[in-house]
Amino acid sequence: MALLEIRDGAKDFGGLRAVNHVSFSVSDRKITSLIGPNGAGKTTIFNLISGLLPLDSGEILYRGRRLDGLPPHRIATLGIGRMLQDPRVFRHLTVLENILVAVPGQRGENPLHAIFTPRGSRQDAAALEQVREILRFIEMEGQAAALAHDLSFGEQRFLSFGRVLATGAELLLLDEPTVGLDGAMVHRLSELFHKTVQGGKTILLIEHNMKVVMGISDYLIVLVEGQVILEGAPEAVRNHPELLKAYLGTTHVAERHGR
Amino acid sequence: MAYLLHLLTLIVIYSVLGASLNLMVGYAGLLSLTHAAFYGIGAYTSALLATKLGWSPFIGMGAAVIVGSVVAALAAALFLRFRDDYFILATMGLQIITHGLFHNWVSLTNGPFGIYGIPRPTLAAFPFTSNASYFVLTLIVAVLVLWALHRLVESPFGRTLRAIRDDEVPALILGKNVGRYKVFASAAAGGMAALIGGLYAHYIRYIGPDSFALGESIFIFTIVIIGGSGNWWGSILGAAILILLPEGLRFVGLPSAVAGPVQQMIFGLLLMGLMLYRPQGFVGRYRFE
Repeated sequence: MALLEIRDGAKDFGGLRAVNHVSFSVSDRKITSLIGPNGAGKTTIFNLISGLLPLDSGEILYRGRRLDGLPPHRIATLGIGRMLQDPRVFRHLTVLENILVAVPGQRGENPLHAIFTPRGSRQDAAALEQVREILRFIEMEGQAAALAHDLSFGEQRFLSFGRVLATGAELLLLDEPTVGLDGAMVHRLSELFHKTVQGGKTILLIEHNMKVVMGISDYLIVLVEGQVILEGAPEAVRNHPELLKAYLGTTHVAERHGR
Repeated sequence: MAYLLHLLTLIVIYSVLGASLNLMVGYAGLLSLTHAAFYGIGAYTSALLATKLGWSPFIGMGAAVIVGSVVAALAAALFLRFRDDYFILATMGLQIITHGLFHNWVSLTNGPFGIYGIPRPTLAAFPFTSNASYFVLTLIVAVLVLWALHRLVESPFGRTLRAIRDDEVPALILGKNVGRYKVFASAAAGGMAALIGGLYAHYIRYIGPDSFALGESIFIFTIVIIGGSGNWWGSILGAAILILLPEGLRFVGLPSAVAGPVQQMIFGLLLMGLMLYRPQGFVGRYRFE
């Protein structure tokens, strides 16, 4: 079943057609990867889905419901989480707070409740337990009290992933999550993605590291110059002449990024 | 002793003004130069209700909170589109406009002559006429406001504000209605400043427009910067320093024509020194970046 569907989506930047009448859908509980050379419009598509940019034409549906036109925070609360290309953690918050802040529907988020409701409610405890679970999952329990800006770049990536998990989103948009990570971390993160999907979530991934893409994707969408030129299962796409044509010049760059 | 009590009352008043502005500056990352306007709106609201309609000052102060927070919320909603420097300029504009209203809406505010004979409040037949009793009242209100501020920032609301202060875009895509948070923080800060304005009006018993001019906003902002953003003790310390320093200069025996400029120079040097050597303020959590 299609969880997310883009129909004929288009976006221009001035004279540049960044996304050129793109249509594709993302299946429930699968890892779908958007691949293609730099400037193909992948991140722009993410910005369109998460509402940071308005569509020029076309529509985006999530569970059959129109998303385009909604503000980013509404789209997020409908169940679409996003991990940005830079980790962009909350630098002055601790690791634990970074994740806790993302847990939706906390009563103390209302300022009147914040002032007048007694502290330490059962609900706070539930949110905290959820955060502990995520910390265990991303293996950062030991750093719960550390300030986010004291973490290494790679750790910030994991934290950023933990943060998006805490939103409870069903669909995770991950924008080049392995760039700048060492091989061991790439491996660990790929494992986490796999487990996350096994746990019932759906991932739409932008990724340059072909080893990761071919290893974990259920479905590939190849984007070149704002258009979908090819899509299908990894085995089918892998040796397709169109992919080689689009990618031949850039594959070795991607490999270097991934290591 | 009376002099000391007066200084203490002022320190308490400015501590709360600083602390409430700190909610915007230190927690929400909104650098506002409008705080004296809300302080003034509260002072005028409560003073006018007491002198023109004979309302109890306590009810007047309650009304001041409502007017102050509503105006602050509207201003914040209007200014959401502005970022960084533009936001500061917009708040400065609002400050100047509000001062202009105090000054020129003569039929309501009595213009530059201000409002005289503002009564001291009475609670259950106990009049707060002595300065000592009024100091106690001020202190109680201050503790309540600081307690509310503390609860706010220690809550999930405050945590989200700090996240927004660090980086808005991830907060937005994590599902936080960033605009609403900013409006709420501004409304809370504006309402608190207005409450203190009412408290001040009934203390000093005369208010005029120039107590709520741009210079006053900068003064309150300086309290936050000196004390440090994101910390209540900082606001108390900042208020104490900025109020006691000029008073201390009086006793050095400088002629008054010299004392004024010397005071300004010391403030200036203090600010420059802080920015150079301790940009997060004396006890602040964040640097101004």
